[in-house]
Amino acid sequence: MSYLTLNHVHFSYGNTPAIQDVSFSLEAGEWISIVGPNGSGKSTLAKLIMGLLPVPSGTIDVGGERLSEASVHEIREKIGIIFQNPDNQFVGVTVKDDIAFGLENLQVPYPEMIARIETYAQAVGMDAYLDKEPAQLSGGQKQRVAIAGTLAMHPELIIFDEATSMLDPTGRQTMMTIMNDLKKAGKTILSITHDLKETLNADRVIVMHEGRVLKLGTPKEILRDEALLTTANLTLLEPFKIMNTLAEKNRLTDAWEALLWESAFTL
Amino acid sequence: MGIRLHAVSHVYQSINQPPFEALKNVSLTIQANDEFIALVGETGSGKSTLVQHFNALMAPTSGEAQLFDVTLTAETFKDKKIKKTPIRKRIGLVFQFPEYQLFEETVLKDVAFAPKNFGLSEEAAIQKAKDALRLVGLDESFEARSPFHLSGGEKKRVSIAGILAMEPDILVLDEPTSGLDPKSQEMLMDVFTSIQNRTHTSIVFITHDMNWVERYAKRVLVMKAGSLVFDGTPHALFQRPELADWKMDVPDRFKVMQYLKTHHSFKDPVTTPDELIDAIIREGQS
Repeated sequence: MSYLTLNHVHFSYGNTPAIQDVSFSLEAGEWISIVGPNGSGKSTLAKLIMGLLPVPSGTIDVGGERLSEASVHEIREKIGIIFQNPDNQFVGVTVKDDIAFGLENLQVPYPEMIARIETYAQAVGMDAYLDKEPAQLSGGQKQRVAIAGTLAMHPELIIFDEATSMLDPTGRQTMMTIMNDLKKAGKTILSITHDLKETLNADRVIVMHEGRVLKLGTPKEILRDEALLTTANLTLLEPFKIMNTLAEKNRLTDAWEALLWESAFTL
Repeated sequence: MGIRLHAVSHVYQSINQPPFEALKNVSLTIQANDEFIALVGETGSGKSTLVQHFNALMAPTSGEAQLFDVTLTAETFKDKKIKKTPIRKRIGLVFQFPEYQLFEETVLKDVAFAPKNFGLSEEAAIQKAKDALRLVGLDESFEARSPFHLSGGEKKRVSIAGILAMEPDILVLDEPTSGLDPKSQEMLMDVFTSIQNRTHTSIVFITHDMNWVERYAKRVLVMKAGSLVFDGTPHALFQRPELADWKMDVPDRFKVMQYLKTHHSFKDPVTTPDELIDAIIREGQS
């Protein structure tokens, strides 16, 4: 069943078109990854879905409900979003306060709030840090706290907006593990990224360019398409470069294709 | 010689926290010409604290920082007779997300701001700004545009031009490519190479991406918990057994080659993707 549906969505900043005729459906429990160059409209799309920008033309449905001025608050409660900069989204004095912040806004009763804080701090491996202040945490740890705060509100859809791009390799790896766990737990995920490695575990990938959907396909369909990726300012990952070179020389066996595909998951 | 740190330690003191030693006994030398250095290390390892010692934004708690002809210690740093501005002109530091600091109406005015501030006439500052914009690959058509309406990569280039307009001997950049798409990252790294080819400016850049380290850096500095644990070539770094302990990644092609070699036995030694492709083709023929 489709959880999120965009139908012929357009959006402009003044006279500059940012989103042009975008349509796609995200199924419940599905993970779609959106890639594309700077300025291709990826983040604008996230803002439209969150109702942070008005939809001037076209429709967006979230969880069976049409996004409108009347429904925006209700819809926002169904969506959790993790942004790029860990420092811009830490609002609490301590980790515990930060996770509690959204729950307080939702007026979750106190005992329930304490239980959720513990559950989700544990889920992201931050339960030993509940009394720490943001200054004592790394960027990766702050992002994990942001995820715990988001999960604690029981969102139906989670959007990651370049959430790993400011993290070091360890922080990035932890985030990828958490995203995979969320997928396994049946969460619906929309992730926006520049990093093709992060699309490997997605069910489908959307390539955006100049506000349009250039292509929607499985990771296997997208990740080998050099012409498509070049248009989107992306570069082929190493295993797919090797794969394409072998294919050009008619030497790509099924066994090598499978092994090269597996090797991409070590990146 | 440009920068020489001798046994530099830096301790952060704050009211509610125990003192934190962010740099521990760091010694290193950076020449004023033709260095291309990657500074790497996990979050919190002291990279940003270190580069702030390179251009006199911070003073060592102990040890000394010799920055061209000025020697800074905890004591001399407080001495008002020792001017920091000339050091900051020779050693330009570009912060992470420098594009947040763009503020003028036009690209040209923004880039000319620093040289004007450092005492050049309007006319001379404009000329320096034009030269700097050409160095980062932005032609005249950009000069009258608003910096706020540029792409992410273009904004980064404008802010880097603002530092280059001061004609520094050493350019230090804190994660210059962060937030950019892969193609824009590559273009920016190529800009640094072309700047160096033309002006011999030494370049120091902080990064987490080992693909750029392998491809661009001539030398790598690795920080771990405030200590400088490695100073050598990228090639030598990637051979080191301590990489995991230093929380260091390796370039993508190393990971791929490693995986393929553990899952397939090759007759001949293969180390590069080209050798791999040749080996697969030979196997197919035999």
